[in-house]
Amino acid sequence: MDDHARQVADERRVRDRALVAASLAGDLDAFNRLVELYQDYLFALTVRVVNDREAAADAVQEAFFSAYRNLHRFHGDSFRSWITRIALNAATDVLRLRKRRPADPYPEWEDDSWQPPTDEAEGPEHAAMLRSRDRALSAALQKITPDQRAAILLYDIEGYDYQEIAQMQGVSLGTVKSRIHRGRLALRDLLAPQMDLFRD
Amino acid sequence: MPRHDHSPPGADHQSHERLLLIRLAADDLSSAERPAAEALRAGCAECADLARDVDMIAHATARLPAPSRPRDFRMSPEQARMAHGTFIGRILERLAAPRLGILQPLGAAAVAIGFVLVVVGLGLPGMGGASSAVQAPGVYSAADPSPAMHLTGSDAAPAEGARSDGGGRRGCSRRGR
Repeated sequence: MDDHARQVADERRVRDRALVAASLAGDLDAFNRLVELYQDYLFALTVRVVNDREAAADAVQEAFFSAYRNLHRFHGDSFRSWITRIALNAATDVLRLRKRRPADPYPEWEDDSWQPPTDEAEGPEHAAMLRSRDRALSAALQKITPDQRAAILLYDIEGYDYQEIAQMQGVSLGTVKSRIHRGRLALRDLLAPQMDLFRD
Repeated sequence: MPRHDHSPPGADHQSHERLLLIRLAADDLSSAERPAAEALRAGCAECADLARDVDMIAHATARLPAPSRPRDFRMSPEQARMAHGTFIGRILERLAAPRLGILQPLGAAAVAIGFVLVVVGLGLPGMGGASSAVQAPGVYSAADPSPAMHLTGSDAAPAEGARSDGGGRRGCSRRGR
């Protein structure tokens, strides 16, 4: 983590702790400010873990609900890590209980009018290739184990390090590394016939 | 001790330890492991492809677009009040949610059946109910314990022996682990 990233993280922690303190004092708006800050991030993470938009939305709602109820127990350094751990636990519960057929976490891809954000200068062919690549990758992510998937998403997308992920998943450092490495190998095996999509 | 099959470059790719290459790409190798992994990558075209592919997949994963959020998760004052309610109260309020509507008739039926069973249990003699005039044979009260509770010293001995055996099994189990 470079100096700028560290400074941003520190400022975020200070802001979050102030919002937690105000929430504990009975200020619901302060808690809802925390919700506003983290709901996009938590939903994006959770829907990729459970692969079902409604189930993910329920898990995120439950996570915020649980966080609000247990806010007095937050003594950690990072609210972001704390709420992530709660959301991952809620997602795990959803995966255990889920009876419904998994649904595409990206309904936008079923809508021809929607295009993922791309560089206009790269042209429609490149945009179509990126879309195919993202769909293939998203489908492959759903075929590895939920623990491997969550660890890889936290590492690659959210930028957490191994130690932070170990704390969030409640496992050892070695287990996190194993999940990530084995998950990467499984992803590569699944995507081997489509690797042309990944060569920009 | 984990097994590391560091086959020399040029051997069949299937026998190469692929996780070693993944760990090399993640910079997660000890100084003792690194030369073998680098030799694999340098001497086996498929191993080199694997290392490159894993790197590209990780890069693409980091750039996946974020799925859009379907609703706002901010809490209403009612939800906030519910969050601080009693455990039973929270369960009842959740069961009252519209999406669990299908469970409500089932819950009502279960309550009705339970009520009937309680009434029947209290009202019928011989079923352990409060109005039973005569205690049914084979039913023992605390004041009149069953014969099994009047064990003599010799009767009790096997039971203690059994506990002792149980302790021995636990001991074996610990040794086994």
